[in-house]
Amino acid sequence: MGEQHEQLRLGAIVDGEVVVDGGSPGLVAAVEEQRRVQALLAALPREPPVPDFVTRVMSRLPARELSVASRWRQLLLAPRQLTLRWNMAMALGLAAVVAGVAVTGASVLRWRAGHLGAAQPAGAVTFVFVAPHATSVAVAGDFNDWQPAATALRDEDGDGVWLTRVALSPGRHEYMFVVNGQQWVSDPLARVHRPDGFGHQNAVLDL
Amino acid sequence: MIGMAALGIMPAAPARAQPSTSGAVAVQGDVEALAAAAERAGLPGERLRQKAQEGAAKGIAAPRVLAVLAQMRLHMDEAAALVDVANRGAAQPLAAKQRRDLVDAALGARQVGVSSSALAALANAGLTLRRDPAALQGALVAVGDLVARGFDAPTCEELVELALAQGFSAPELARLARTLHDLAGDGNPGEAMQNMRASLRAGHRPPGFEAGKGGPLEGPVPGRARGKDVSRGRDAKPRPAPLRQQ
Repeated sequence: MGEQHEQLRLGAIVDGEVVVDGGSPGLVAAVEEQRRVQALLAALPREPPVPDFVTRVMSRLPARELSVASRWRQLLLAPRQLTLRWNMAMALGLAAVVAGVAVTGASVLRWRAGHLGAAQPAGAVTFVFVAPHATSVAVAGDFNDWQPAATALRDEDGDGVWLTRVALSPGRHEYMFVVNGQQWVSDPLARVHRPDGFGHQNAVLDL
Repeated sequence: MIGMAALGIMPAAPARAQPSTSGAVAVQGDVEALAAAAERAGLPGERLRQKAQEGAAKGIAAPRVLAVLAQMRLHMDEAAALVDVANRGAAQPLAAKQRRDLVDAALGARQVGVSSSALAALANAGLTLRRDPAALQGALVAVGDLVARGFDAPTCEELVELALAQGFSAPELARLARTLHDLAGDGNPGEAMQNMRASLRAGHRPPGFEAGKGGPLEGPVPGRARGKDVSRGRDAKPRPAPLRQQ
C-alpha cells in the first residue's frame, strides 16, 4: 500500500500536479530520475510515422468475427468511394433516367393535385374585412350570384376582423361586402375597383 | 334566366323602393327581352342578366337597373360596330364567339371610362393592322385594367396602343396592368407608367417584357385563337344557378 502510494505521488510530481515537499530519499531520487528521462526524451528528434503505419498496425490485429447482420449492414450502409468514367452512352442513359423520373413525378403531382382539388381548391381566397361594430358581414359577388347572405364572414374572437375562405374558379371576379345585412361596402384593401354602374365600386379580383 | 322577381325586393336594402310582385315580374320580362335581343345580335346578353341580378341584390330600383342595362347595350352595339369595321378587310369574318368576346372586353373597358375613340384605335391596331383578335382582346382587357387601377385614361390608351402595335402577344397584354403595378412597387405608379411608355415609344421592350419573358406564347401568332388566354374569366366559371320566379 505504501509503495503504491509512493508511485501515485511520484506520478503527480512528474506531471506537475504537486510540488516536491520533502518525502523519503527514495522518492526524491525517483523524481530526479524521472525528470532526467523526460529531458532525454524531449531532446530526441521527432520522426513522423510511416505512411502505412495505421494499415500495418490494423493488419496485425486479430480479425474480428462479424455476425451476418453486421456484414449486411456494412455492405449496405458503409460509405464507398466510386469512380465513374463518362462516355456518351452513359450520359444519354442517365439523361433518359432523369427524364423518366421527372415525367413520372409530374404525373404523380398532377394526380395528387386532381385528388386534392376536391378538398382544397386551388383558387381558395380569404376575404378580410375590419368592422369592429358590425353584427354581421358577408361577401357578395358574381361567384355567388350577388346574394348578400350567401357567404358570411366570421369574427370568432370578437376583435372586429371578419374572415372567410371561399373557393373561386380562375378568372376575374367582382365583389362587395355587405355589412349588417344591408350596407354594401367596397373592399378598402382591394387593388382594383370598377364602377358597378349603380354608384358603387366593385372590388376586382383576378385569379 | 334569372329570377327578376328579386329586383327591388331584396332584403339587402329594405329602405329602398320596393315594387310590387307584378312590377318585378314586368321588370324581369324587360331584362330578359333586352338580353335575348342582344344574344340574337351576337352580343354577350348574359352580361345584361348578370348586371340585373347584381342590381337586384344591391337593392337598386328597377328603373335605374334598366337604365344601366340600356347603356350597356349601347356600349355593346358601339363595340360591335368598331370590331366589324376594323375586321372588314379580313379574309374571313370573326367567329361568333371571338366577336362576342371582343365586344365583352370592349364593354369592360368602356365601363371604366375608356373612350370610344380609343377603342376604335385599338380595334384598328389589333384587327386591321395585326389581324390578331386575341391580341386585341388582351389589349382591351389591359386598357380597362389600367384605367381601373387609377391611371389616366388617355395615357393608358396610348400605352396599350403602342404595345399592340409593337407586337405584344395576347398574354403579355393581359398581364400589362399587373406588371406595371408590380414595377411601381411602393414607388410612383405614374412614373412607372411614363417610363414604360417612353420605352415603347423608343421601340424598346419595357422591363418585365424583355425578349424571352412571358412563356411560350411570346410574340403574335396571327389567326391563332387564344381567346381563353385572355378571357376575363366569366366563361370559365359555372353559370349562376337560376333563381326561381316568385
